[in-house]
Amino acid sequence: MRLLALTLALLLACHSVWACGEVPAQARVVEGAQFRLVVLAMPAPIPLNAPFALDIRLCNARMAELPRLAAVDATMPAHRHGMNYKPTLTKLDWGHYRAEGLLLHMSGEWEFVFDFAGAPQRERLSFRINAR
Amino acid sequence: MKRFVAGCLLLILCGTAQASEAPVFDADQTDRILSHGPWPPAVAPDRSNRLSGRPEAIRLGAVLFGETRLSANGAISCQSCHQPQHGWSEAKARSEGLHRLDRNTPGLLNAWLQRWFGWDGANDSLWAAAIRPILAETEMGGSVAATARLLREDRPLACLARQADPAAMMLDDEGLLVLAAKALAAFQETLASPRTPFDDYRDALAANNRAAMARYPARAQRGLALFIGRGQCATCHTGANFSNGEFHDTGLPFFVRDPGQPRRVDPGRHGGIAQVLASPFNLLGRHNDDPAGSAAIPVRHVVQLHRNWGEFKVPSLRSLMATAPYMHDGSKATLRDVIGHYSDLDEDRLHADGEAILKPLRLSDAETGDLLEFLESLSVPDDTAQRYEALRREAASACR
Repeated sequence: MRLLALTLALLLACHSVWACGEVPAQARVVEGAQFRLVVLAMPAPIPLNAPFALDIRLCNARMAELPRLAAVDATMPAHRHGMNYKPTLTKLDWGHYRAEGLLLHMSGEWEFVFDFAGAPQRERLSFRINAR
Repeated sequence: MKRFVAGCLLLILCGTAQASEAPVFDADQTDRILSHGPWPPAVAPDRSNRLSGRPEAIRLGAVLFGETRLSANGAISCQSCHQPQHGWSEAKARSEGLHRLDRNTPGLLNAWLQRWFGWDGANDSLWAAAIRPILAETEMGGSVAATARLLREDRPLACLARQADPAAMMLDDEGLLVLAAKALAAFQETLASPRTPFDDYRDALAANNRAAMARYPARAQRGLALFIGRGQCATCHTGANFSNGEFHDTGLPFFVRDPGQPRRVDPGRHGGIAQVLASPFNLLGRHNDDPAGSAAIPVRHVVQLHRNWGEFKVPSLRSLMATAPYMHDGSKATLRDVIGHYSDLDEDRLHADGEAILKPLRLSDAETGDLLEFLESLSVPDDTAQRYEALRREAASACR
């Protein structure tokens, strides 16, 4: 029983437990042509000047149409530069990814960009935040 | 005539009142100001350093900090350049070890809050940053073997090393060098600057305590308004330590000039990234005591970009009154010179792909004075020099 509880606790710690049907309040939702992009920062809200990860889900898509998330990046449009770090992207499951190693090193407006491949056409989705 | 004089006096008084007026901060500005605290921050041990926070290691580190036998000529210690009375920096523009270096000695107060170490971030931990000057031919010119021999053969040092780590004498030469560096880092983690008039104001603002807020000079408050507003200083000088710990090109000359020598370029962060990735002492290596921890995330993901040429680390602004001269090359003698640099910024010198928001601030004399008063309010005298001497005396009586 203890082992089961420990395993469950470990699983909960290692993987995000939210699903497309239960989007956390702090997640960002962006509607794409083929699917809905849902992004949860870990930790949330996104910290300034500290590393964080993104838990990324592609929701409301038919399995056959599910595109591949090819790249995640963040830039400061007004400053004409991006991060000093290149995030690593890991596929956890169908339509479920984790990006690690992001760090927003300046206060101000940042744009997160998600590039998808493999859908009927390439798609780029984005959202902006004000990092403070 | 009397009426004229009275009128003049009234005008002067009104002018003075207006000039001494403190700004009223809205909710957004208040949030920005509060983000520069609280101070002091919560202390967290460096998990990559098993000696972090251990009193025996702090004591050994204090002794090693003043140890000239770590250098090739037996005359240079960490303290030679990181002088306690100068905010653990020195009054020279450019540092001198065995040779003259290209950069100013960075201060060590609050260094433990940084992510990267050195003006170019060539190290990703405080302990790795302690190894670099010991081994660098231009600085102390020491060696792995000589450092290990010193720790093994000098009776008081060996005693202190065993107190810091009972298994110290079982370590190989490189392990002993790393032990020395981790003790040096444990000591440097204790070098924190005290609370300042700004911190009192910031906390009063958080509590909406108007009486306490009024004790902070109006000029400093106006300087603070510039700092978080039109000056955009807080875009990079973020958080309680007034530094984002990252790197920027702020329009200083690329070239290093020495009389009789060809001019050369200081690559700044571009070179620093190459060095940190190649270092056997980085957090991806075997000496990290917490390899699965989060401290290694930045070095695992850092990328070298063209714009990193000529970028240097954003220094903390705390206790900066003690650390003149300023900038990575020590080219600005006073804080007023630093403000002047940003006021008259040479836009032609900046990278085409560099920071787009850097523009000359064109500050008036009054604004320069306000900003100066705000910056000065981030400094108060500290007792780290006395605590350093006390630690060294304690070590001397613990191991003779």
